[in-house]
Amino acid sequence: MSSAAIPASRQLQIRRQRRRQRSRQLAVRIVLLLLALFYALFPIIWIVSASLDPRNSLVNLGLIPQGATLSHYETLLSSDIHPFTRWLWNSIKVSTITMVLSVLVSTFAAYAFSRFRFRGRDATLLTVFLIQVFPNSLTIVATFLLIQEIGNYIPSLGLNSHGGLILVYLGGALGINTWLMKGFFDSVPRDLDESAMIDGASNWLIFWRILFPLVRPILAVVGILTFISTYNDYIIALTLLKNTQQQTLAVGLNLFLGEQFSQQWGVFAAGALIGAIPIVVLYLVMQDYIVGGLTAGAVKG
Amino acid sequence: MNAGKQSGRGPSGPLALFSGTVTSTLLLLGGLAIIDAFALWFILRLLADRVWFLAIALIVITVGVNAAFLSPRLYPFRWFSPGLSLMVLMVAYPTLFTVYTAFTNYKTGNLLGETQAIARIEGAPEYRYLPEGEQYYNAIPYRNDEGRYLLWLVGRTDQQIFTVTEDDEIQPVTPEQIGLEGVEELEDVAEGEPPIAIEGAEALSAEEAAEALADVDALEYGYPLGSVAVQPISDPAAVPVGWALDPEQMLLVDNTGSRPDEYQAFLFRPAEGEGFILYAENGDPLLAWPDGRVVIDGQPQTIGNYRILSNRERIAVTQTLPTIEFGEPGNAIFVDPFSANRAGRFRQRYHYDEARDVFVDEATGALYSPRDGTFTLVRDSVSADVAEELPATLSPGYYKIIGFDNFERLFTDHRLRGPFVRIFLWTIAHAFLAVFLTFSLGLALALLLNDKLIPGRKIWRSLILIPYAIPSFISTLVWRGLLNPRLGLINDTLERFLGEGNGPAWYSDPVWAKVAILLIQLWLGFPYMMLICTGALQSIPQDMYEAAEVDGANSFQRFRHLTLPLLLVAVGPLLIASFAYNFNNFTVIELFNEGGPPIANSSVPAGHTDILITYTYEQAFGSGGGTNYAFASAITLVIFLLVATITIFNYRFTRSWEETSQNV
Repeated sequence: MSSAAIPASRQLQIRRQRRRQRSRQLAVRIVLLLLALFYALFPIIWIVSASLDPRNSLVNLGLIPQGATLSHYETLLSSDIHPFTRWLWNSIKVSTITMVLSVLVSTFAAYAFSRFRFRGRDATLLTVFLIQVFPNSLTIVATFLLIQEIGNYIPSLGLNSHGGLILVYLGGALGINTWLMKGFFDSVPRDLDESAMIDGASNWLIFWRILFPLVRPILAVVGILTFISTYNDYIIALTLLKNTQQQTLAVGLNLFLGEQFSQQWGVFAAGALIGAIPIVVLYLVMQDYIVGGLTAGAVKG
Repeated sequence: MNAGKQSGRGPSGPLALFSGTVTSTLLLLGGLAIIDAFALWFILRLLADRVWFLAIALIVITVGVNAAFLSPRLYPFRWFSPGLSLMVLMVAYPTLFTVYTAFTNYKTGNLLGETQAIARIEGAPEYRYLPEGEQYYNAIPYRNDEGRYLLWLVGRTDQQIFTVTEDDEIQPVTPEQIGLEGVEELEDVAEGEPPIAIEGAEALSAEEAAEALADVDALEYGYPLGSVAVQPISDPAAVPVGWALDPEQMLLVDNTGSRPDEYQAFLFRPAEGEGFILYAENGDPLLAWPDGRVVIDGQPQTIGNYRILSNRERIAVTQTLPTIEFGEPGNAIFVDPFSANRAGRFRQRYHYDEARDVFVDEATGALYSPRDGTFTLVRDSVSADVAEELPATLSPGYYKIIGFDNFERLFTDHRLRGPFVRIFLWTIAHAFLAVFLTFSLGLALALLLNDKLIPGRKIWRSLILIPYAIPSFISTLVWRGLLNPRLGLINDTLERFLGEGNGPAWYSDPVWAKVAILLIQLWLGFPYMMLICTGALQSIPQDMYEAAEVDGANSFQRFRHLTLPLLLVAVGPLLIASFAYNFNNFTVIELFNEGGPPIANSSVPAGHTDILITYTYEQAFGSGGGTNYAFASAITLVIFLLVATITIFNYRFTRSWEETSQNV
């Protein structure tokens, strides 16, 4: 060993020097991280401060509120002209229904892609791959005209209806969800269903009793991602919903700010926080799952 | 077909069609029957209304679903049927419809089919004229309980009065209808005396009237009086809603409107029959007969079972009244759509000549021939003696395929092309910069956090994740407040150093607005990049670094030649996906500033921070200048092409990177 040639005291000195260098490096890292953390959080601190500050205005609003009150929250929750609770409920309702239906439809398709070999499989697969590339907000004009036309015959699927909105969301989520889930189905070994098939189980039984429980984690991921991107959608809800009572939070909150941007700031801040909390909690709790889904190609809406 | 390990068929045998038990088979068939019945109803209605494209889409879906469930060979498609149906309806149909619309003139003013548009012009109330020799009438509308109308008409030239109903012919007005028979106006009447005399009726003095009404609770008259309560009145505003008469003061109060109206009243006792004739005045004289007739200012309030419309009711029917034909067809009287109290024997001005495919102006003989779906005045057909300014086009127009005109406009109209090129370049720059900035910051943070000695790494990560977790429609609005040029926190802080009023104009300056958008994008997106970089960094084998260290590479060299290439292999496709996503990031742009500030000298609305999708949206649904679905669809096709290019590139890129990574 070369260290034997260096005296023990010198060795100690080098080690101490290294340690000092390391700790200095660590301190620099932590300072930089603190800066990044401040950048990430100051708008949030600011909006919390705005929601508590009694002045309800943008003017001279700092990171620390001048006094604290819950009156903006009370104003928000009791407003009739701007039915905030209604918007929040609409958003949660539409997102939940979209999530459940989308996961069901996509699971069926992903199962079939993964387990059956049939003529036209490659073409269908390619189509699914292609449509998940184009966001459905691109065809918003045609979609608007389509929903308007359907609404002439079935009003509950037309403009200003949650049915029509959900229909559009389902179409938009179909490609990416099927694509994500097919990958996961592929990773479940076929031996499982083959042995069940030998035992005489039908396809439905195999799907429902064997595969479905196994793919539950990916169902959760796909479900949550669908929920979040539906909750976050602005363009489609903006186009289809004109009635204040029917609107979702994304459309309503902007409407709420409207003209008197700076005079309603406290109440808006309260609304922004309440509206953001469900999603932020979902993210923090399900972090690892969501990251898995995101790195597999899903993009947040 | 059976190439896979499992065939695409259900069980074989005589009952191969249905895989399950009898019950499940029946359920399946029952469900299919319900779906088919509903689909058939819908399709037939669509066909009846000539909504061809949607009908075809639904036929494809219905046939497909039936085939999947009835043919054992198509068994796997049963599992696809919900997804494929959705795909046909919500993806394929809108896509094809977008392509179709891009080649039409579908926009405000051209939203109807050709036959519908022609029928609309031929019957439009606003396209009528009064032939020579006809006079205008003053018209007052009446309505009966069945919602049918009657017009009270006074000729403006001949002063003749008559009524006309929707189905009846013209009726001259009799004095009985007016309710003024035997009524004579008196001159020089003393205070407290009625200003009229009625033949065969005796005027009551105030004392006589008070005595006559002593035991009466209410007097019954026709519309609009109804039951008039007889009661002492001290405060007219305190009278219950309705009409009331004070017998002592002979004060009649109308408290049906927003304010009470007061009348001086007089009673007449007819020589024959029951009841009293009530005469009252405040400006307009009112005469109410015990048989139910009421005349206000010479205008009977009811004619037969028709009653006059109140002002509010007249306003409510201004749209419908001009569409109603009064009197005999062919010589009918219409209410003027531009002046609700005027009527006349109007005729339709424009008639369609099918043989020549032109509209003929009956009043002047001028011709309108279709140009791009709109009937346009042929200048040569206007004779020299026509003094009036003829409309240049007739509306509505109709939609039709116009070929590449929408695309041509993009290249030929320079007031369109200039802004479009700017928006196009900004769309790409915006998406690229958003990815580049977020990736740079995210990677830096991932590298910082990649040190095992940092305490609580998971907590750091979770906290830094928060901006990404907040829905972007919320964070964009929050940033709109932060960046408010006059009041926001950012400029408040900056102006401490720069001086009052010197902060950047984040809303109105084209460059600063773009910087603002990128600042927001950076904040929204860097945690995502940090997350994916962290994942990728952890997957890089440690022994590679050791090997590099042995070779004498310093830390920058290790980053440049080892970390970065390996990282890009892992996150490259995600970066491109993120690029494609930001390409169409409607929410941030629209909510921050609606694409503003506006670009001057643009022939259609366009803004400096507009990207293609917000620009498209503005053309289709914008508040200013109507909606142009066709032009919006044409731009959508341009975006389609771009996204497709990015995707193909991504696909190639992914594969090539995969190959590279195998060689590492």
